[in-house]
Amino acid sequence: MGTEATLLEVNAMKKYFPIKKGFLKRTVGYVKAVDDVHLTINEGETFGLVGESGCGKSTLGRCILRAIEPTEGSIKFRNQKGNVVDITELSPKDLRNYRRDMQLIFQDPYSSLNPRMTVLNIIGEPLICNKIASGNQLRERVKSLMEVVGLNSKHLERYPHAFSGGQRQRIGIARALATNPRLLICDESVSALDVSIQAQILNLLEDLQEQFNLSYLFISHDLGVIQHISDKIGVMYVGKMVESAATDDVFKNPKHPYTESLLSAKPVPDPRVKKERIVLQGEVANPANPPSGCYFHPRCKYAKDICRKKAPAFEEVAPGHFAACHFAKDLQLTGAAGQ
Amino acid sequence: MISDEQTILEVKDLKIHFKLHEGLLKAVDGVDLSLRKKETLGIVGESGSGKSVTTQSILRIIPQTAHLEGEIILRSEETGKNINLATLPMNGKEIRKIRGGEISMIFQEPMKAFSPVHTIGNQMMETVLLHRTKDKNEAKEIVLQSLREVGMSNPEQRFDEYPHQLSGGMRQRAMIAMALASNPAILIADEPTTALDVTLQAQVLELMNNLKEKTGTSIIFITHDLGVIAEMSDNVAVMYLGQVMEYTDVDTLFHGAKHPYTLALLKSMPSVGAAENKRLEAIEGNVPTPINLPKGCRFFSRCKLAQDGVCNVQDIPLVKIEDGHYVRCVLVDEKNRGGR
Repeated sequence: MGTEATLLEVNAMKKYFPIKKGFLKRTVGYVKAVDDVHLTINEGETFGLVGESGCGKSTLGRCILRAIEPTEGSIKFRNQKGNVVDITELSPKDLRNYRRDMQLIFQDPYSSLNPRMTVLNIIGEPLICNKIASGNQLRERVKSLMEVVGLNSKHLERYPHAFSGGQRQRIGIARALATNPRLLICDESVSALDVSIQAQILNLLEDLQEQFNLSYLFISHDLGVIQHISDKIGVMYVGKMVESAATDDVFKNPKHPYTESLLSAKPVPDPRVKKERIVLQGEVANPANPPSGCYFHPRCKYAKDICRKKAPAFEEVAPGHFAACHFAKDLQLTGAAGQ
Repeated sequence: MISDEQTILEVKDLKIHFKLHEGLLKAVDGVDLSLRKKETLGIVGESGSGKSVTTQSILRIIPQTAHLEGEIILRSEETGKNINLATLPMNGKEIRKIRGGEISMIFQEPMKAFSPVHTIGNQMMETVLLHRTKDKNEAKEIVLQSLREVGMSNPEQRFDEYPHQLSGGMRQRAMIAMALASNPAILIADEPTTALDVTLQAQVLELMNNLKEKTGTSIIFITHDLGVIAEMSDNVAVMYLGQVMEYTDVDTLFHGAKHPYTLALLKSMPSVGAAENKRLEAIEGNVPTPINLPKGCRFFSRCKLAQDGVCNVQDIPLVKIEDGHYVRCVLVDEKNRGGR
């Protein structure tokens, strides 16, 4: 595993969902939701994962937690003592200890909280499950967690319906923080919120990162949010990572045509910026029946013969900048407007 | 708001109130809007700002329990008369003729807006038969033509397909085709791209702009995404808690906005290309529920510039500070007057 600072290293991760048909439920094919993905996250770092719906970004996030069992690949995680463990090889019993270190923050603050549990029970549940605290100690811990995320600790006995969307998301974050995790997977955690509330939650996540030295895997389809919060970015398309680099490099100097088109598709909140927009034709390829060669070639305006025949490798095209495109080194692609 | 012969829709002092156990919910409280020919009016606001209810009331598709006050005047192109939509009976012949005819609507969730048990073709035929022709063959031609216009591949086949057979982007296209099939003078688009991915959103926005050029339809575009607003609108109304806070042309909105809420909204948005690692200036607190609100400015509780005794004394009017630029803020108004 990379350097001392590396917290998580995902290697050649695959998740294939079988498609079953007929009376005998024979497997007739696979949906390649995640296909040969590599990523590393350092301690205290935010890795932004961006892509359109159905590109496998959530599946990847869940595979890292082993909430979904990955088909292949290794997930190396450095535990608090500094030992590196491969999470995919852990028995269910051992896994429990590692789950403490990794938590998930969900998208929808309305469906991710049980309406019949009080805030005390919701935030306290991970503490009870992991036998971290009980009784009065639990109460105190939950109170302090509520204060950390900016909730009034007097509202301990209230039910989720008494809170607004932004406050509920704070409850979800407090629950994720309860076990003192080191890696938080934020799956579209601010997408369901209004702009003004979204800014509050993004600020909170950044404060918490500083305070507890957290690492984030931040999954979102919103490029503005991703650019704001991430140190590194990975762009996914139909189950594959097509580009990965430091945030600035991706936005200023994209190396994959798909990234270029994503950047140009994002509406700029300034009517004076008139930009040449690349409007992608067609739709995202079907991961059960992807096109030959490079998955992006039917929508790519730079596609040549080789793209139809051969799948490009995910290679380092510039220092620290990875891309999966045959022409990554030759193409002069445009970055985001306003850069 | 100024109105001239180019104005085709005017909303005057619109109030929509719901009586609840908790009190009177003022979803919309004194909204003025005007829409001119070939104009795109963007309405932007957070959830609960009343933007959807306002536009739904234009078509009179709000719940019957709602109490509606004010005027919604449509200058009908067909008859050349002014019709006050607010006073028409909800299920009457007149309003039903306008719905989907002169004014049509695109919804956010194309899956929910289509009936799952009828084919795309049948659903679109219904509109066309109601509003444009009685001849079935001609109606089918119109439907196929409008499917072609929105860039649907293979329209003859799509005509016989059910909504679930189409992908999200295609469904939204079908929805736009359906709305345009009746040749409306006004198109209301309620967050039409919110459920779509950026690349699909780009396709749909381009399509809407092209169709507007071609047909000259006026559009009311509702969204919470300021980026989309910048791209689509000519004029923008910023709504908060049932009131228009600022009303101006799109360039002024992004480069010379005056209302503290508009400014805060612009600052709180993480945007591609912004200076990085800058902390977002979030608006504190939450959008209050519009029940039993105190007197004064709606934004008082969250405004950084709010002054006790100035902002919360009486209801604040929407004031013209320049031609075509209206602001609902006491402080801006005072400054403006002092400067002259």
